[in-house]
Amino acid sequence: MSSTSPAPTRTRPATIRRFTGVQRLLHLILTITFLGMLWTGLCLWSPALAEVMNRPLAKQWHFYSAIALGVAFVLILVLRPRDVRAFASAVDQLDRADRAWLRGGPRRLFSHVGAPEQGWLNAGQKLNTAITIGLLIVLTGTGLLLWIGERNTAFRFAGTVDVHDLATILIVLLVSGHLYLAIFNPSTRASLSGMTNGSVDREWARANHRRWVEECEAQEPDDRS
Amino acid sequence: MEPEPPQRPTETPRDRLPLGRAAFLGTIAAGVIGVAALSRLGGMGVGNIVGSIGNVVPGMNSIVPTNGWRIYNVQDPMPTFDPATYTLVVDGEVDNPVRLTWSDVEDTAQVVSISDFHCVTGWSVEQVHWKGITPATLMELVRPRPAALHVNFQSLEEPYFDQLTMEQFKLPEVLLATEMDGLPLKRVHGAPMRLVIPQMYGYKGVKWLSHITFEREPTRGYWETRGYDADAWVGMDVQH
Repeated sequence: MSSTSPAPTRTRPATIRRFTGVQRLLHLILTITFLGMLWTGLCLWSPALAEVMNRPLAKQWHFYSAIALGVAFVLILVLRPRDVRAFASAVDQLDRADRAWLRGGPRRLFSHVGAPEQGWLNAGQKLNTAITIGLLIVLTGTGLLLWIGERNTAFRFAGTVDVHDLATILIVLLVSGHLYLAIFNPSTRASLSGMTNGSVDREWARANHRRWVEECEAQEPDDRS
Repeated sequence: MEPEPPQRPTETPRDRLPLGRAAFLGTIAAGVIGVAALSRLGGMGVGNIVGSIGNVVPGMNSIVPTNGWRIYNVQDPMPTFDPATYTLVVDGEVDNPVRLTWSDVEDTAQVVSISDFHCVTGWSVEQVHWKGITPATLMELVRPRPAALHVNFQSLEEPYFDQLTMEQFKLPEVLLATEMDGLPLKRVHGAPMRLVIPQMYGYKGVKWLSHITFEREPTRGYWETRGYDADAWVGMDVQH
């Protein structure tokens, strides 16, 4: 932290705020409930784990985890509709720089040589978010169908379990990549602190999300104070 | 208001494309189409495909030994089989009610039958090698009376229970199975004995069998009181 005198210096903190407390709390709830659903789901799927956690208990907690995540999503929609709309818009809109980023393909994730200047999220982050939330909705829908189908045979379809399984495989692949990039990948792992303590290294952010950093700095009070 | 940095061209709305929305809605659409299409095909068994990786990659079977099975039980914990205390009671409308110990069961003639197993929720396991007591052998032993029109199967897992008609019980390949794929029935599959009726969905195949009763009157089984068909013929539910 630069706690220099209020002289007309342009020194800025070494870190820059990346995610708000609410965003990190929601991400934490998603992490916990996702792991809960993954573990109980594996117990429901694998006979080897069926004895570790029996079906009735696993089903119950699978269900509770899903409900908890659903409640968190509904609460954020009700309590912070403006933040949700801003976030949805940030994820939704891919501008020229995003499309240029995409043309670089997955190579972008491993080096940022020649990367076009990015905003708060790059195209990979936007699409990952959009597809992950889409998969969560598919999992919720098929999960509800399985639940209702157990009570009313009119809602029992042979393809429901398959799609629930396929969506699980896809979301596990996405989350695995997400974890790899956040924890191990040298050019992206500096982003992890954004989710743990809220801030990331300013120079890393400048290299990877230059347009966002400049937008933030234009609003930062430090050259007005 | 902060002036725009002059060196960067201003984005016009046309430069932004709602691709995030497209990916989001596309994912949901794929899910909906997937359920519709795979249901029409009768399911593809994704879980089995993943499970069968265990047969291809060495060592994987000990990590994900599913072989396509999913384990269903309704009460925690699953019943535990103890050969010293296990008994199978067969009674009701019969001339010779019996109480079989595990060694009695082992001494009873058993046959091998290979059949496909279908679960009502959409997954199947093909070519399961069952070994067990046939209905004919059991009926020879207990001699059902003509009044016996239904057979009740009670599980050690209370309150799980189901029922077949006598005609259904006499179908070929029906077994009171004690072995699966060459090994004693595992706990998760209903050790030591389960009903196998491949013509019907798996919920009719009561696991952890403890009591068989020949009855005059029909009764609704565990899942049938929860809306499932008593006649759970495989492949027939598409007409509903």
